[in-house]
Amino acid sequence: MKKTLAYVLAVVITVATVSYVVHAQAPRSRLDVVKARGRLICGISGSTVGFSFVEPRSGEMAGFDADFCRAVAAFINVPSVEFVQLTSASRIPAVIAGSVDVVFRTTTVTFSRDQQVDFGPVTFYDGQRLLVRTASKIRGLDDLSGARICTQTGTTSERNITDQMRLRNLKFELITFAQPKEAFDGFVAGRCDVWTTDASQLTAFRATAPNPREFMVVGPPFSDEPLAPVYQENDSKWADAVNYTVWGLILAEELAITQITAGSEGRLKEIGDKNPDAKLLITAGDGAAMRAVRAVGNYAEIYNRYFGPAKITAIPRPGTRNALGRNGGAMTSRPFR
Amino acid sequence: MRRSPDVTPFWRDARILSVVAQVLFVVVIAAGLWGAKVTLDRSLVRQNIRLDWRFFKQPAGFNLTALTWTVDLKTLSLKRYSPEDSYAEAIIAGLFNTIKVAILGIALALILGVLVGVARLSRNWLVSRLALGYVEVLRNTPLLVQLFFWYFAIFLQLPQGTPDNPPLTLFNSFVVLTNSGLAIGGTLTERFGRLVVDGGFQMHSEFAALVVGLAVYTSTFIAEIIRGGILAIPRGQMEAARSMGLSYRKALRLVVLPQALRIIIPPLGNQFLNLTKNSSLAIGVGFADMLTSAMTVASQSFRALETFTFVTLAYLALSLVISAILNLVRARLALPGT
Repeated sequence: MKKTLAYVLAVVITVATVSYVVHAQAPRSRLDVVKARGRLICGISGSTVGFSFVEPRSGEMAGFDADFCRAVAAFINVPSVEFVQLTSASRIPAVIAGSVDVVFRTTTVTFSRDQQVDFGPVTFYDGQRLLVRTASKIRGLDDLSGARICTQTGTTSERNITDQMRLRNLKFELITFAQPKEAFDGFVAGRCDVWTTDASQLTAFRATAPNPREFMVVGPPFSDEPLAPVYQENDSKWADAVNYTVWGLILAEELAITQITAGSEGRLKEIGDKNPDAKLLITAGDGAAMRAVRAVGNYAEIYNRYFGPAKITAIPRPGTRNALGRNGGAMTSRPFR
Repeated sequence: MRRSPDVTPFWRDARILSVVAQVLFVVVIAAGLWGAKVTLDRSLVRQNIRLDWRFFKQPAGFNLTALTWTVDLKTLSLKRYSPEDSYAEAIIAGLFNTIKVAILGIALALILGVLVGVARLSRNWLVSRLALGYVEVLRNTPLLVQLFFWYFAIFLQLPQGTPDNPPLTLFNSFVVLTNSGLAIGGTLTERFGRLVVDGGFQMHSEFAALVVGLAVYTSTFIAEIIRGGILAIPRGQMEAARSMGLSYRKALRLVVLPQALRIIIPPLGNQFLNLTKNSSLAIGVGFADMLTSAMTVASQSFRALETFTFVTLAYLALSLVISAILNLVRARLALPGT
């Protein structure tokens, strides 16, 4: 009897304490959590050429998405970034559960996704296209009757291609992989006739093929894929930090503030004296935006580092929506007043 | 005053006490569950997660790697899965694929495992060493690595079906083997510079790699269980059977193996369960099992919590069914009175 009583008490106390502890935590902004931790936990793909990949020489994580992670860390003045590799299917649960602070992982903004998480400003405008063998004579969606199509599980690409094929009433076979690298390997090995996903990834992976000339990206883009950072819902303090990091990098490009100029106080003062808008950007939040630019460069520098004309993974920028607003693109910033 | 022996105070009556203890136990469990539910509800509110189970009825809109059967949830009849079907039906289609993999994988693993297990005990040095090597190499490497190996290094390296790399055919193209998989009784057609098969019975590379990978991996554990089971039968049984004039094989088949079976069944069941659960690694080789289609559902609807609750319960049900079947087998094999 005593034993039973003791058990009852133990269980009741445990349940009570656990509920209390869980309940007692006041809702804190992710910004405070990250600052207290001193480390930004950033979700990326880790195996997508151009966007996030392990740089073979240094062994460090590099890529367009990875640099944005570093920029956010610098913006909020947190010394280090921990990269967490996520698949297309695991990225949203990771954000909802709070195991990553922010995800830069070629994620398309959609209405239904926005019911569960929040999106930051678009960092890259993409569209879905097809990668085919040059010899295959496939030049667009209409040629795909009976084709074997590779793509990634849980992506908008998977759904887009299904919709497009059903619209055309074409039979096809879909083979889905967890990671773009696996889908590409399956395609190169001849398991499928087409690999379809965002054009940026097709271009980047094509460049890494043993013989890129054997493959080509064809057809007009058949979907709109604005790629943006993802974070937990209803945390506007944290949203501001991520959003203004992205806008700060874009504004730095507009104002021609590069990684080198951001590193020199004298040059910054010179620019600030000439242009009041630049002065606002330079001084905003104790120079938060300048820390980000010093860490990774402005938007154009990041873009050209991975997709510039001289790179094997080159993706032309002029004339696309990735160009600055004043050059006819869609990349715009917000005033840093 | 002398107390009459048949009046025991209720707090010392063992029968009443045991009932009270049961009631208390139930109350404690209920309190624990209620506490957990309250905590869960609060956490969900704090994380801004609102559970909504209705989304399972929305159309899935994606295709599955292996076209498969599913249950029409309106009429409860079997039908072919198509992208217009609901999310729930997409996951059920995946469940059918998982069951297909589990049944074939278990059968193949059992055959391989028995062969290797018996070979381990062979008095032929070469045979027993080969079996030992098979077991040690395959048991001590990660399953996912093996699956990648089977898929990318073996099945995808089969002929692509191009003119300079033609498919392997048997019986005048009745059986065709390419890196798309094995096709029986279909018609060969050329498409996009490759010979592919339409119709007939098709076994895709992803499915084959998964089944073979799972079966080979699990067979190593089964082999060890078989070997252990046989070794657990006292030597006297074999010696007695031999002295009665039975051949080695007959003695094994009629005397040793039936007894070994009783020892083998429970751990064997664990391996069957492991194989079934390991089939969720299908996502690595692009086969549309239950987890793969659930992942797609979760990332399209962003309803991960609901989807994975469903998937967890489905795997649990599948495991319980396998356990139940094995328990029946064990009950049938048990000696009367034990």
